[in-house]
Amino acid sequence: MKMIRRSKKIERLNLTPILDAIFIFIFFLLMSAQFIDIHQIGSDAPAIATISEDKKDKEPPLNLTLDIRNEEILVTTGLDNRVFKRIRLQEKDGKLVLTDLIKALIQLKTKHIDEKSVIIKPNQEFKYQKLVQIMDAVKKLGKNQGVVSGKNKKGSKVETDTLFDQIIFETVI
Amino acid sequence: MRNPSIRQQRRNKAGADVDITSLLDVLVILLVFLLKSYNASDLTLDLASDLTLPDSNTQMLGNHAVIVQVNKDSKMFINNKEVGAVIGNSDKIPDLYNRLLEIKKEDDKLAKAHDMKEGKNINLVFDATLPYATVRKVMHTAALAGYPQFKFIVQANY
Repeated sequence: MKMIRRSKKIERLNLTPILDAIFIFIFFLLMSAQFIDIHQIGSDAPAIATISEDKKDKEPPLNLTLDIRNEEILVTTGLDNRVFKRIRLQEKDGKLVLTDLIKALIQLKTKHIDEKSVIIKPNQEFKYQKLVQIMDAVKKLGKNQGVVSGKNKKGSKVETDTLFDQIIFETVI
Repeated sequence: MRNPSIRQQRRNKAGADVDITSLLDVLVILLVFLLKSYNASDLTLDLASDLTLPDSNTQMLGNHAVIVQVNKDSKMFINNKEVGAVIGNSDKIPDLYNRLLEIKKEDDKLAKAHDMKEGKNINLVFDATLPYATVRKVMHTAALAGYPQFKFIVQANY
């Protein structure tokens, strides 16, 4: 019996168009790539506004201020800048240990859940890297630090992981 | 010489196929890496020399605005052009102030022509080792020149 050999033709996918697309995509991504992960921290210069009597809040403002000195941070509140807490600055592995500061801020945030501003008053010699660490701590709670809950002005319960994200530098102007 | 048969010609053609599997592997890895490092921010930053960004865990993406950089020798750069250094005891830095005013005028003209809001944001890029006194002088000058909304550019460390 005569065997009939049929040539097996292997079907191949035509990858040319997908390769073209991938090449274009890679060029686009390479052109727009930033190899440093850049982010920003916002802050405003202090502004002065005149508030009419009828628009004034009944409660006195929190006026939370962080007086950052070389060895300690004074957390003050109120228009008369009463000292709420005095926190000693300690470093571990080149980073500031800010656990006590965060605890103090959580206490304040729980009582004033609607408050968002903090005034920062650093010492002239204070290093920028450390200042950024303090700004980070003041703005938002870390992933493992849970949330703050409290009652807002309308009386409803609010939960948030944001502390005081409106940072104002007192000595700018 | 005998011409090769049609079957032989076909065989030869099949042998000339290039195996692109490995190339595809490389391309896919490159694509994944680039997609992972893709940043949707419209801010592009060429860091000045001798400038180390501070680390931060903020997640806010930067936006396009005037960029002022100050390196560890207190040399200032506006949009990558050197404009002098932060020296002296005065809070206002004249070189920085004058150049920022010029840029502000141009930006305001453009904003007016395109019916847009005038820009008040300024991206501030400071070396991590600088003292607050230098940072304050730059912020003070920027605010006087019409840029009171500061955006401190930092390097994400998460």
